[in-house]
Amino acid sequence: MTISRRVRLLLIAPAVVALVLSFVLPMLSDLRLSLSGYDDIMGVQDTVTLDQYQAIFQDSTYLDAWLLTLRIAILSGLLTTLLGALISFGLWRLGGRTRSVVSTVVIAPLLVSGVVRAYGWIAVMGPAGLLPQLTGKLGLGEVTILYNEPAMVIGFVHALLPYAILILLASFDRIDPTLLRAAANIGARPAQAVRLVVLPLVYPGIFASVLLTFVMASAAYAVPAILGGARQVTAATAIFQEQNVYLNWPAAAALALSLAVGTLLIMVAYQALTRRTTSRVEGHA
Amino acid sequence: MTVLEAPTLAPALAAARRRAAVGRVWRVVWIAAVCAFALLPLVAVLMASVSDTSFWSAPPQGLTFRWYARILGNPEFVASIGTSFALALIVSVVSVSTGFLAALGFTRGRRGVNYRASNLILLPLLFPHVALGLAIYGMYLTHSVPINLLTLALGQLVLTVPVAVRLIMVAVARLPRDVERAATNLGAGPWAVFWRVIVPQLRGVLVAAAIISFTVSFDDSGVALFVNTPTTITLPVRLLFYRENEGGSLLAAGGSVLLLIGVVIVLVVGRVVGLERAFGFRTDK
Repeated sequence: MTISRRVRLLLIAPAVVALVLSFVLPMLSDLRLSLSGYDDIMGVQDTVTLDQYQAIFQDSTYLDAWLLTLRIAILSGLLTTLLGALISFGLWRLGGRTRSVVSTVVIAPLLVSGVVRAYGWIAVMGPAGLLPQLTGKLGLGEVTILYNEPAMVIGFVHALLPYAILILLASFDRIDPTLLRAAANIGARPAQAVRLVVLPLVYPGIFASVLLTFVMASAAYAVPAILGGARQVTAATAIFQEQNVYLNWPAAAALALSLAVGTLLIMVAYQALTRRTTSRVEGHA
Repeated sequence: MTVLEAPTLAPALAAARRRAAVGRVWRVVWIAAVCAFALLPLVAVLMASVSDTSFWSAPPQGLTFRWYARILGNPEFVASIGTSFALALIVSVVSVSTGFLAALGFTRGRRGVNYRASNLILLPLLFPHVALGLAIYGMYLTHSVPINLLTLALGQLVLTVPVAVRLIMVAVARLPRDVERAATNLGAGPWAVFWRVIVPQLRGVLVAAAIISFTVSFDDSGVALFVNTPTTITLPVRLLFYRENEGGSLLAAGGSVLLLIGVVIVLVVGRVVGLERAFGFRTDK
């Protein structure tokens, strides 16, 4: 059934209207807000100024938040992808019924609220949690990991792992299994076959997973809010604080837009950098 | 000859058997470790929720259900359960219907699938949720738009409509056109083709899109974090706000309620569409 141009425009219209109202207009309004002045006593000023942008790239509290966000997002992206690749490789080799059970267990947490999963790590790594009790019994002293960078990274790795596995498992599944047999036939040991045959074919999946998990970790609110505590301020928690606690709308808007534009630029740059490897592999597959 | 061969073969066979046994043990250890990591924080929340202490404690100290009694006896929290469900229902119905129409509009032109136009609709997916939430809330406040269930639902469309459009579009593009042509040749009008040929073939993906939109809305802690009034606070946001002044066990009980809702969603998804289908991954080869 082919549809005429006029009817097609009508069909697309509701989705476009929804996104104009919930995305285009709000972002424009945000841009205007970010260019407004702010006075501690008078509140938001109806002027046009770049003060907010100047502040969020010069003030040391904001700079610390940017650096913390970057550090945590990079570390979370890399660790999640590494762990995701190991698990996906295992699932790929496993096959059969065991694979479907294990992959369901690993993916299903996606359907459980991220807030709850972040809280769960307090019960694991906080005082009186599972970790300190275990290390206490092992005679290592009561180890707690909470309200610091490692706690946030662990929370992110757990939150993002299902996404990494979805991408990487699909990437492993595209590999023709006869390639491994062919490698063995011409004398490759298993480890060599993995390094020389499998790994290059999953590079695109690995690159995609690093990017996706990095972007998600750089912008998520729940994990840093719950596991970072009051002293670890990331870009996302700083935006909420500025708006909700200090009522400094212009600063919050400037932070939010800078975060959005920053991630977009990183995505574009990253894809330009990885394009050569990706297209080489996909040309062969 | 056979007498000579037997003793030389036996050790080799035994070694092979031993290696296989070791492989099996490693496999079980690996599977257990992977599943344990995936489920660890969820189990820890459940444990902490029955602890007879006010702080986070896992494994629980004592056994009590008073935290559940307290959280479910709290009218605010119960109201949030209703808010979250009503909101997710509205959002998923609107997202799937607008998404379905747009998917038809993008795929059924004379020149085939229009990916370039549809990619524009995906743009919001690249934006941090906190930035979107702040922008929507800011726009509502500047233009004195009242904040209620409907305006919150409108705001969440930025998160769900792009996903729904993309998911349904891929399925529509894959439909075999011969079936529709056959129906037309047999005398079916465009409406009959739409309702009796196209829609039935897409039932699976429409349900999957509805469930994904429902979950995204239900778990959202970006848009709903900003866009709320005391009467429209969703469950995850309520739990986030509670962390300032409530004890761990009460949070754990609230989290467990959310977790159980998540488990129900997992079971429903598994039963109705299958997790593989909803997430687009294969659990088996």
